Amino acid sequence: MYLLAIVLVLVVVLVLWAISIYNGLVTRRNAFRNAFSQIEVQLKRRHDLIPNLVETAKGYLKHERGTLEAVVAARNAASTAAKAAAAAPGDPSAMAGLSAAEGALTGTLSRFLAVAEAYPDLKANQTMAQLMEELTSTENRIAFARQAYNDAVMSYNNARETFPGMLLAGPFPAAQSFEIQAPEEREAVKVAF
Amino acid sequence: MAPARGTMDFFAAQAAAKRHTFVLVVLFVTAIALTVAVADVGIALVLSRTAGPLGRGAMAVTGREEDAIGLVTTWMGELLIPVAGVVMAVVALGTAWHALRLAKDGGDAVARMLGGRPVDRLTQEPGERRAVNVLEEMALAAAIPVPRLYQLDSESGINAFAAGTTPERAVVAVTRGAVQKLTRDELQGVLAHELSHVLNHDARINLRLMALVGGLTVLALIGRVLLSVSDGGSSYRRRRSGGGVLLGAGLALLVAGAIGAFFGRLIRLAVSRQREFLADAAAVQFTRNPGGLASALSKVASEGSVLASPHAPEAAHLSGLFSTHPPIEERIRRLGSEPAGATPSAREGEASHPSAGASPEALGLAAAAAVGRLAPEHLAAARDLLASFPPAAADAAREPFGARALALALLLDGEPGLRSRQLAVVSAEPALGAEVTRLAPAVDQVPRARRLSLLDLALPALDGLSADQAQALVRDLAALAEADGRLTLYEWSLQRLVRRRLAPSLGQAPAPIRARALEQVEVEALELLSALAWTGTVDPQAAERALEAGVAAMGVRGTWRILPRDRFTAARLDLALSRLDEAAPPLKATLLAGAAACVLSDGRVTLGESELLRAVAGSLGLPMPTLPPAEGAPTATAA
Repeated sequence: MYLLAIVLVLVVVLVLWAISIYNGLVTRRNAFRNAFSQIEVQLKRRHDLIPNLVETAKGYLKHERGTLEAVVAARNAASTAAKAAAAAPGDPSAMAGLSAAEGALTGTLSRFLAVAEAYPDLKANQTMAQLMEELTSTENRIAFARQAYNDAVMSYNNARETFPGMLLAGPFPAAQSFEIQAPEEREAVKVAF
Repeated sequence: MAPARGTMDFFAAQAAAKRHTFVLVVLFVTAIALTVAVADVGIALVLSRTAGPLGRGAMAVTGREEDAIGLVTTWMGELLIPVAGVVMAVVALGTAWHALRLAKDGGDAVARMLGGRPVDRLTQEPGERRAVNVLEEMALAAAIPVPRLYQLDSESGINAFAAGTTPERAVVAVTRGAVQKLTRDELQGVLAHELSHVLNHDARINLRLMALVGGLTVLALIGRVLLSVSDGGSSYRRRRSGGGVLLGAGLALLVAGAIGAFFGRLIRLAVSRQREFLADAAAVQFTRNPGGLASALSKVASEGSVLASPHAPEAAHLSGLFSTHPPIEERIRRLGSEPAGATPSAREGEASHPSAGASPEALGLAAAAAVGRLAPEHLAAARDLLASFPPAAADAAREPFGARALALALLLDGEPGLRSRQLAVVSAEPALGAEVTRLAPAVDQVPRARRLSLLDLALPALDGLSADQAQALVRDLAALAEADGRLTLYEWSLQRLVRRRLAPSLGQAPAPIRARALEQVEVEALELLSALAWTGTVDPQAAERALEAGVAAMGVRGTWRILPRDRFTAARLDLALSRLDEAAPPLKATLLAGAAACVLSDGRVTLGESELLRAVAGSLGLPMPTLPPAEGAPTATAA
C-alpha cells in the first residue's frame, strides 16, 4: 500500500519534471524564432530609411555619385532578396541570397558613412544629422538583433543537446546561427576609384 | 605571466550571480523560519510558565506532571503548533500588507515621483533621440519589449534606474546628466545594465524580499504594542498575571521580530548586490563591449551619482540606486578594467600625455599587460594622439583611397632628390601620385615617434581595397622603401603592419595554429628576442641582459645564448615572425610579454625598439597600445 503510494508519487514527479523540460525546450525554440523575426523587422527598417538618406545627401555629395548609386542599388537588391526570403522561410538558398545582399548593403553603407565624414556641410545639416543617428542606430539594431538571435539559438541548442533535454529533443531540430556577412561577400563589393 | 583580463566570461558570471542569489534566498527563508520558531517557543514558554488559561489546560490534560513525554506532546499540540500558526499568520498578513503597499506604485509612478518626464519615442531632440535609439537597440539585444523611457530633467549627476515588476510594465529612467555626459557606448552599457534588471525581474525579487522583511517587522511592532500595554496597565491587573503574559509574549515577539528583520535586511542587500553583478555581466552580453559600461562607471565614480530629489530615499528599493550596490571599483574590475582612481589622468578634458609623471618602465609593463585590452587611459591617450595629427592626414586615413596614399606618404624620404624619385614611382597612377603629393606636407609635420600611430589610424580603411589595389600598394611600398638602397627598421615595420592588415584582401588565409608550447618555436623566439635586444643597444653585455629579462618574462628556466648581432636580416626576421604567427593565442601573449620585457630591461624604450615591438605585435595579430619612446632616444636601423 505504502509502496504503491511512493511509486505513484515518483511517477507524478517524473512526469512533472518531463513536462517542465519539454516546456523549456518549446519556450527556447519560440524565443529564437521570435528573435529571428526581429532581424527581419530591423532589416526592413534599414531599407525604408535609405531613400531618405540618399535624397538628403544628394545635394551635398555631387562628386560622390558612385557611392550614392551603389547604396541605392545595394538597397534595392537587399529589399528584393528580403521579399524572396520572406516568401520561402527556411529555404537555405533564399537565406544565403538575403545575407549576401545585406552584407553588400552593409559594405556600401559603411563606405557612405566614411565618405560623408569628409563633408562638413553635410555633417552640419540637421536633417542629415538626424538621419545619420537613425542609420547608426539601425546598423546597431541589426547587429544586436542578430546577436540576440544567435544567443537564443545557443541557449536552445544547449538545452536540446545536454542532459536531460537531449532525452526529449526528438521533435526539436537543431537551429542554425545567423551570419550576415560571409568572407566572400566582402569580396563582392569593390571600391572603384 | 598572468593572462590579460579584459575579456569577461559573461555567461559564467551571470550563472554565478544567479547561483549566489539562490543560496541567499535559501538563507532568507531559513532566517524567517528561525524567527517564527524563536517567537513561537518564546510565547509558548511564557504561556506555560505563567500558567495562563492555556498552560493550566495543558497540565490538566495530563494530570501528572512527571509524565514528561506526554507533557511535551501535549505542550506541542496545545501550545507550540497553534502559536506557530498565529505567528505565521501575522507574518503572512504583514507581508501581504507591505506587498500591497509597495506594489501600489508602478514603474511610472516611481519615475514621476522622482521628477521623471516621459520621453516621446519620436522625439527629435538629438540627445533624447539618441537615448531612445540606444534603449531600443538594447531591448533588441535583450529580447524584451522596449520599456518606457523617463528623463530626470533636474538631475545633473549620472544615474539611471529601472522600475516596474514585469518586463511589460517596466520603465527605465535616466538622469539628464547621463544623457548629456555619456558617450553612445557608455549609455549603451548603462541602459543594457538597467534592461538586465528588467529582464531578470530584479525589481520584483527586491519588492518581495522587502515585503517579507516588512512582515517580520510587524512581529516586532506587535511585540512593542504588547509591551506598552503591559507597562501602562495598573498594578492590580499585573498581579492578575495577565500583565506578565503580555510582557513575556511582547518581549519574545519584539526580540525575534527585530533580529529576524535585521538579518532579513542584510540578506536582501546581499541579494541586491548579486543582482548588480548579474546586471553588469548581462550588460556585457548585450553590448559585447565591457569598456562602455566600465567607462560609464568610472565617470560615475569621479563625478558622483547622488540624486538631488527629496523623494530619492523612498526610491531606495529600486534596482540601480544607492547602498544596495557593490563598490564601484569592484564592478569596474570585474568588467576587466582598472578603476578610475588608479588613473586620474584618464578623465575627459585633461589633455596630458600619458607618459607624464610615470616611469617608462611602469607604463611599458602596463602596456604589456594591457595587450588586447582597452582601458579608459588608452582612450584618453588615443584622443590626444588623434588631436595631434594634421587634419588633412587624419581625414585621409578614414577612406580607402586616402589611407592608401597616406601609407605611401609615410615612407617618403626627407631628402628632396630621393623624394622626387619616390614620387615618380607612385605617380605611375596619376590620381594616387597627386594625393600622395598633397598629403606629404601634412605627414612631414608628424614626428617619427607618432608615424606608426598614424598608420594604425589608416589600417582599417585599407580593408576596402580590392585585391589589385592591395597588391599595388604592397608593391609600391616596397619600391619606396628600397628607393635609397637600404631598408630601415621603420620602413620594414611599416610594411609588415600593412601587409598583415592586407592579408585577407590579398587572398592569404589566416595562419593555422601549429604551435601551442614555447618549445615548438624556441628557435624563432630566440631570434626575435635577440633582434630586440640588439635593437636597443650595441653593448654586448646590455644586450645579454635584455635577452635574459625577456627569457625570464616568458617563464623559461635555463639560459638562452644571444645570437650574434651581424646575423640579422629583414628576411630572417620576416621568416621568424611568420612562424611565430602560427602560435596559439596564449603562447603569442607569452611571446609578446617576453618581447616587451626585453625592450624594457634597461628602463628606456628607444624609437627603434618601440617600432620593432609594434611590428611584432602587429605581425602576431595582437593589438598593443603605444609604448611611449624616450624623448631624444637614438634610433637604430636593421641591417
